[in-house]
Amino acid sequence: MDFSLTDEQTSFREQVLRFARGEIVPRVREHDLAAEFDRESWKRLGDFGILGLHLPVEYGGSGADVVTCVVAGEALGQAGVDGGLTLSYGAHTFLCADTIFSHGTEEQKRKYVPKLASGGWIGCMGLTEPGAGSDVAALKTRADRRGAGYVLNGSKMFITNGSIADVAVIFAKTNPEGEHAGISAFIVERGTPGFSAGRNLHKMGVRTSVTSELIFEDCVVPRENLLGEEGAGFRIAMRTVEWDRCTLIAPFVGQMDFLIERCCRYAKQRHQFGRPIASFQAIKHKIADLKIFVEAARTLVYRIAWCKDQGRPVNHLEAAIAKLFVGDWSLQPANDAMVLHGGYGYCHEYDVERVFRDSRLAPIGGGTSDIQKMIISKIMEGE
Amino acid sequence: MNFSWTDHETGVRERIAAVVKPLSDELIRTFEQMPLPDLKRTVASIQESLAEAGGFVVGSDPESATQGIAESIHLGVLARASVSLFLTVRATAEFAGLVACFGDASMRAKILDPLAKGRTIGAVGLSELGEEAEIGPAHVTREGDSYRLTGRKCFVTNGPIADWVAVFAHLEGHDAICLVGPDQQGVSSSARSELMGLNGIAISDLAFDEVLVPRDHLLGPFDSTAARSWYQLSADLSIAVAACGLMERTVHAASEHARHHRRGGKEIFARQEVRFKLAEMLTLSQTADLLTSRAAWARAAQSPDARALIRCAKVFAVENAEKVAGMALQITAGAGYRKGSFCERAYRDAKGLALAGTAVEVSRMAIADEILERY
Repeated sequence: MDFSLTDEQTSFREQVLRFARGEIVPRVREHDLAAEFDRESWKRLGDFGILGLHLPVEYGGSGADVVTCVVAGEALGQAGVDGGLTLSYGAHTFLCADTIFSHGTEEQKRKYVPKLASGGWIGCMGLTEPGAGSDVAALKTRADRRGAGYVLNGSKMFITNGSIADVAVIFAKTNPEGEHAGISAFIVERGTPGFSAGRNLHKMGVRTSVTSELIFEDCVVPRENLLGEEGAGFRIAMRTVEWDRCTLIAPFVGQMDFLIERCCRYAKQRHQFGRPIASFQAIKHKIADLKIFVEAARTLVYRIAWCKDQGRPVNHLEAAIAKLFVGDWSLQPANDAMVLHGGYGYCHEYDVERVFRDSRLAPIGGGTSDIQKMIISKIMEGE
Repeated sequence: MNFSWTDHETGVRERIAAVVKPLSDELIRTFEQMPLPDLKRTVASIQESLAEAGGFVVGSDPESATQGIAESIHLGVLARASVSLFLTVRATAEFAGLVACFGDASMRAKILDPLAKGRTIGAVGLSELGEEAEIGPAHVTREGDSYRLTGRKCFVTNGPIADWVAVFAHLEGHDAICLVGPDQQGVSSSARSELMGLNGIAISDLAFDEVLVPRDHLLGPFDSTAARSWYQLSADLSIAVAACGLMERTVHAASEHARHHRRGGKEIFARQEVRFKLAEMLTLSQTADLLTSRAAWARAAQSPDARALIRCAKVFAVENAEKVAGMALQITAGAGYRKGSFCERAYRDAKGLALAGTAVEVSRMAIADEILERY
C-alpha cells in the first residue's frame, strides 16, 4: 500500500488553497447570509480550472485524475469555501458535465461539455422527485415518445443548481411498467418550452447553493437529447454515485480541517481563568477528535477516488461505508467545534456555525445514512 | 497512491494465515491455564512458524526494525484469532526493535539472531506503579564498568515467560534501557496477573533489586526521549492492529449469529435494527483497519505525519473496538453473554485494549498539542 500524493498533487493542493483563500473565501459570509448563489465566485472557479478539472483537455478540461479532484475538493473545504458553493460545483461538474461526457454522443459532448467545463454554463442533474428519492424505481416523471422526440411530464425535487442551470440531465420513465430498466436520461436546456423551475428552497445550510423544484409540462425534447440508450437511465444514475462518494464528499472532509485551524487559533487567543483555553484538557480533546475524524474520513474518501482512477467497478460496500462515515461521524466534531467557540461559535462572524449547518447535509444528501446502512447490510447478508 | 497490497505483501499475509489457521479457539483458550513453561514453549513455537512465514520481522538495524514494526499490520490475521497471542508475539518484536534501533552492532549481533528466528521471547518494562511506589522510579547507577538496576515494572507483557527484558530506567537524569534476563540475581517476577480480559497473555510485575547490568547490556543513556517514543509508538500501533483484528472477528461473529438465530419466524438479520447495527459495526471496523494501515505505512515511509496518524489510529481503533464489541453482545444476546462465547471474550478484551499502551486521554493531548503548535 502507498498512501502518498504525488508532488504534483501536493503542489496543486497548495495552489487551490491559495486561490480559494484569496479569491473565494472573502465572499463567502456575505452570500451565505443572503442565501444567494455567488456568480462571481463561480466565474473565478471556472477561470481557475476547477469546474472542468477531470474532463479531457479537448473538451475544455484539465485531464486530471480523480484523486486530484478529491485533492481540490478537500482544499476548497479546508480553505473555508462554504459547502453551498462546493455542492454547486459537485453537482455541476460530476453529476451533469461528467454524465454528459461519459454517456453522451460526440455531438452532445462537443455541444455541452466545453461550456460546462469553463463555467460559462451551469449544469444540474434531476433524479429525485417529491415521491421518489432513494427508491429510484418509483420515479413518476414520464417521457413518452412522440414523433421524433419525447414529451416529458412530471416534477423533480431538491435539485442543486436547478433554477440557475442552463442545462439539466433529467431522468424519466420511458417505460412506466419497467422498474429500473424503464428509466432513461435526457439533456434538457433552459428555455425549452414546458420546462420551468419552481420555487427555490430555503435551507438550514449550504445556503449559497440553489436548490429548486423543476417542473415539466408537456416539455418536448428532441430524440438527439436522449443520453445513452433508452432504458439506460438507472445505470447512468448509479455511476454518479461513484462521484458522490469521493469528489462530492471531499469538501466536507476539508471543512473539518478548516474547523481544526479555526479551533486552534481561537483556543490559543481566548483566555479564561487566566490562561488560554487551549491549555484545558477538554478543549484539547475536542481538537484531537476533529483530527481523528479527518484522518479516518480522508482515508476512506481517497480509497474510492483511487479505485475510480484504476478503472475498477465501483465497490458499493466501500462507497457506502465512506458516505456513512463522513455523514454520521462528522456531526459530533462539527458540534464540538461550535461549542469550543462558546457564544462566538453561535454567531455568523466566526464561520464555525456555517460549517456546522453545512455539515448537516452530509448524512442526508445523495442517499441518507439509513440508506447506506441498508446497502451495507444487504451486501453483508449476501456474503 | 495505491490501496492494494503488493504481491509480496499478499504472499506474507497468506503465509501468516496458514500458520494461524490451525489455532482453533479451543487451543487458544488453553493458553489461559497452561503452566508457564508450556506456554513459553508454545509461544516460541508459534513465533518460529511466523518467522518462517515472514510474519515476524525483526530488523537488524534502525531502518529495517522500523520497517518490521510497520509490517506488523500483516499480523492482523493473528489478532483476529487471538488478541492475546498477537500482543504476546508483538512484545517480542518490540523488544527486538529497541535493540535493533538503539543497540550497537555487537549487541545486535549477539541478541537479534535467535530473536529473528522466533526462538526467544522478549518483553519491555516501561510502566510503573506511580507515586505510591515505595522504591521510586526504576534507576541505574554506575559501578565501575558496569551498572546496577533497581526498580519495579508493572503490567509487563511476557513478564513471566521472557528470555530477555528491556527495562526503561533513569541514568543520571536520562533515559536508559537495561537488558536483563529472568534468571539474573535480583530479578523476580510476581505470579501471572489475573485480568478481566486478554487472558491468554502472561503478564506480571517485575522487580529489580540491585541487578548487575554489564556495559554491553545497557542502551543509552539517551539525550532525548527517542527510545521511549519509539517504543510507545510501536506498542500503540500494535494495539491498534489488535483492535482491528478483534473488530473484524467480532463483526463476523455477530453477523453469523444474526444469520442463524430466528425470532418471530425469521432470522434476526432481517430486522432493520439488527442489520443497521451490523452495518455500523462493519463501517467502524473497516475505517479503523484502513486508518491503521495508513498509519503503519506512514511509519515505514518515515512520513512526518506518522506520529499523529498512529495516535489517531490507536484512539479510533480501541474506542471503536469497545463499541463494536458492545453492539455484538447486544445482537448475540444470551448466547453472547454466556461465559466462553467469543463475544463476551471480545468485550473483555476490548476493554483491555482501551487501557493498554498510551492512554487514549494522553494520546488525545499529544494529538492536540502537535496541531496547536502548527497554528
